[in-house]
Amino acid sequence: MTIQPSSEQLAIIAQKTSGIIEAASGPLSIGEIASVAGFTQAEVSDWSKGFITPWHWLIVNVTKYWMQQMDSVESRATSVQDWIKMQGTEEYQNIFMKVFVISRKLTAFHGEDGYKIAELIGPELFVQRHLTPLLDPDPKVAMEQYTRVLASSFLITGRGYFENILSNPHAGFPFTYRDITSFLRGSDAET
Amino acid sequence: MLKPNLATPLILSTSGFLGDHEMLSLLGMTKDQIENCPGYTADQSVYEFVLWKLTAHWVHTCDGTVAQFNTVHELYDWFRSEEGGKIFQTTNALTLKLNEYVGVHKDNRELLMKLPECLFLRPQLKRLLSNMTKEDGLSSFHKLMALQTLMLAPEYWSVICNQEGFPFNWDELLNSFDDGR
Repeated sequence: MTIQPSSEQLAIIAQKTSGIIEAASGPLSIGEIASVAGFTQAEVSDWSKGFITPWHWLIVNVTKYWMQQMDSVESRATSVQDWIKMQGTEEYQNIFMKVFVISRKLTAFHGEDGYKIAELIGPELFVQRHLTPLLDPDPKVAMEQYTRVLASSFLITGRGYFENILSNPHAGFPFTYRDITSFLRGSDAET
Repeated sequence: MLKPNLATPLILSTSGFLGDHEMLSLLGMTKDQIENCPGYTADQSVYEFVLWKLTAHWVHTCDGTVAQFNTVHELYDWFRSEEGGKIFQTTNALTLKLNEYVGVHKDNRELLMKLPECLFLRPQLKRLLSNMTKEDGLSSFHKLMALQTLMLAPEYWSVICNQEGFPFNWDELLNSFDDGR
């Protein structure tokens, strides 16, 4: 069992390294990771024992940190409508995009071994555990609710694109970006 | 000649940006062959050119396929088909990789502008939705966004939907996009 950083140390590491992980095209060295995170190479070396490289250790742990943050925000939703409104907030969208971008670095490195990542991070964080009990017991209603949640997720990842394309009234679509966000989340949901 | 079906999995499997020598070795091509490909410019690295060329190829393939459809339901069917899913996932993966490249090499942002204009199938989607009422357009568009989310990672979403306690399963969810046809 290797020594792992405390939750406070992990929060610092995640906050300080997320930007560079998102921008990086390839693995960072142990020296770069230690320098950006503000810890020593010896500490990073100890923490990353058992991982293929310190970079692998870093992206697993930073992904886990942001997934825990997302889980925490999601746990506050008390209905599907509340969930969809939450998806329109800056707080949720920032966290969602961190998970979306950084977790992709994991799949690029691990491919078919993706299930091991779920074990390392915690399978409960992968199954939208707080959404399931909010869905209507009637399958038809639940599928409509779920389709709306999925569409709202897509709107987060493509926000810049949709804002540009759909906000132009001459783009040829029968609705605007504001119309689609209102349709999905309610008119006061973008905060 | 750059062969998209062979070169695409190779470039998608790379981590980081490769040098010319590594790329040529990976592709089994010579520099002369790359330089003779349409669209190549002398200031480009092999990696940059191949990544852009493949992205443009698949964007074009998506657009050409969807151009044959007359209704959004045909588009739903295509997304759910094995062939459509693969083409869409490949296009998306390459576009993300090109975005990542341009994010690091900011002087090369024009690479994105040089892509055929059909990101998110814009010209075709506009064609399919433009004659709809606002209400029908919104309804179709939100279903398309949901379906695209599902088809970008069907293995993941099928596990989610088939878990115990979910009020529906994966097949039922996919079939629900046929409602209102």
